[in-house]
Amino acid sequence: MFNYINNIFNTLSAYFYDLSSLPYTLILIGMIMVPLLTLVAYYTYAERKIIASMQGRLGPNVVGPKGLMQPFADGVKLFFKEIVIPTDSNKFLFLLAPVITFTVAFAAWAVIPFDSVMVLSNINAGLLYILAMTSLGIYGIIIAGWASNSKYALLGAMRSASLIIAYEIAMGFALVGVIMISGSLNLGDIINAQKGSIFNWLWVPLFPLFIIYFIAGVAETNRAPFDVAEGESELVAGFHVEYSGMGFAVFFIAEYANMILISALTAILFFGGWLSPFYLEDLDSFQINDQINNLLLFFINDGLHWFIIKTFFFMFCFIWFRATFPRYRYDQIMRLGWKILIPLTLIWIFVEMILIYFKVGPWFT
Amino acid sequence: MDILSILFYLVASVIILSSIALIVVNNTVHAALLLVLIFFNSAILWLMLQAEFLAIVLVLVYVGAVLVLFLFVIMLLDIQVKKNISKKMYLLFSVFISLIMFIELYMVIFYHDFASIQKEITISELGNTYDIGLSLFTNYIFSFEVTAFILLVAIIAAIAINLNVKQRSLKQNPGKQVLESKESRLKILKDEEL
Repeated sequence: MFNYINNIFNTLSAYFYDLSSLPYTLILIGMIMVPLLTLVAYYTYAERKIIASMQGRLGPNVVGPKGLMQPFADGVKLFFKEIVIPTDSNKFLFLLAPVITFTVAFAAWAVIPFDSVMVLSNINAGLLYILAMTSLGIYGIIIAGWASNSKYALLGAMRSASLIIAYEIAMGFALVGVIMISGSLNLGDIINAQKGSIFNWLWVPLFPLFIIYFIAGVAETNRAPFDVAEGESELVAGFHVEYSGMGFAVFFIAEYANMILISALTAILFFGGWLSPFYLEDLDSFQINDQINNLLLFFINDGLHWFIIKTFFFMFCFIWFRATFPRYRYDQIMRLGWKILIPLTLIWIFVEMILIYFKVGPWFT
Repeated sequence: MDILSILFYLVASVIILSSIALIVVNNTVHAALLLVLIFFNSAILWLMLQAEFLAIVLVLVYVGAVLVLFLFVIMLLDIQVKKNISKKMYLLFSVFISLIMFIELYMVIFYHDFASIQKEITISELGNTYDIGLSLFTNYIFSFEVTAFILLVAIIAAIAINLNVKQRSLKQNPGKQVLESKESRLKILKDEEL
């Protein structure tokens, strides 16, 4: 079935550079957006279920079988809620902020390679593009906080912005480590540089950078334990405290899309994206006319399913962290970002430099 | 007219209109956001000239970092628009500044025959990100390192200025907090000792 989708994707991609084929491009965008939005809807459901079982509760179980229709019930509820615009707020900016957040969260997906051929836009500066797009996400938050005309929202926005600025540097340095090995900013090339078994992936030589990248990713998406921007006990809900109905829903969707994006990027940069963890040298000699064996072979081989499995693992980690760790204090977060993570990345880049010079292991040849 | 020139005129007019709006609007936050719009559209212009590295870096550095700090400061400062300054003063200053800039630009463009400077730009197959990196670290390594050194000095200076400010705020000392142990804070007393 994946091959079938690949074929469609290939045929459609051939038309991509032609501007008269705008509808095809829109179809391609739809093919990314629709599964992504569905995933976001069920990610919220998964979060509630997983945290519930970690805390010995049941979680949503009323709407539909096992509560599976809960995301749609929530969506309908938010859709029909009244949108309240605070007095003396800046109406234009107030309504613009969720749109910016949403657009930026989904724009980054344009360069994510789902498979060796499944990528909407295979640009050479893909990693830079993603960094640029994720750094634009602050604007939605800052504008929302300022335009709301509320002290809580402004404080939440400022906390969130300073958090993102602090952790973006550590994140950028972690990415420098990846670029030094792969020698390319193209995400497809970065994955191809990790070919081989599970030990050829970059998480082995870049283990500290992988940890730092994921911590910075959690901080950038304002998730627990770094969720001071919306700390309920201090700021009610942070920058989106004045938003109701669809405005809130759009922020919510963007936050979850960003979490999925960080998970997918971790899978791509450090865990070989679509590559299989098993390395079979002569995979073609395994031609056995057996239905089960073929299925097994398909599973072992590289493909979209590995990318999805890896991404889901990191998405699970986000939820796991939220259920496990208590919230950091604001100054502790700043100390961790500026005084621990950034020096660590610099040290590891230096170590990597030495490893590259002496051509250590299978990674630096 | 092909689609690229239509796009060019669209983007260019957005830049010019928002530049005018930038100096006309009273609200400083609006002005900063208009600057974001200008930078973003300039990035599109560069993208149309196949300078994708410069375009993305413009968005990454200026829009993603520098202007965020601008907005940060502006939003927290609570600037009040002063109304007692007469508009004549504004006009005088603006005419003066734009006159200087006009003369400077005139000298650059017409004295040096700006239009005749046309260099062929060759982009290798690996893309211009690769090309820029290569020329920065080979031909222009000295100026590159000097720039990096100046930036380092600026960073250290900025930190030094902030360190010298007397600390009036109540701050946690994280070093002491880490060193604190349970024994030094909690003591279990038996009934008899009370």
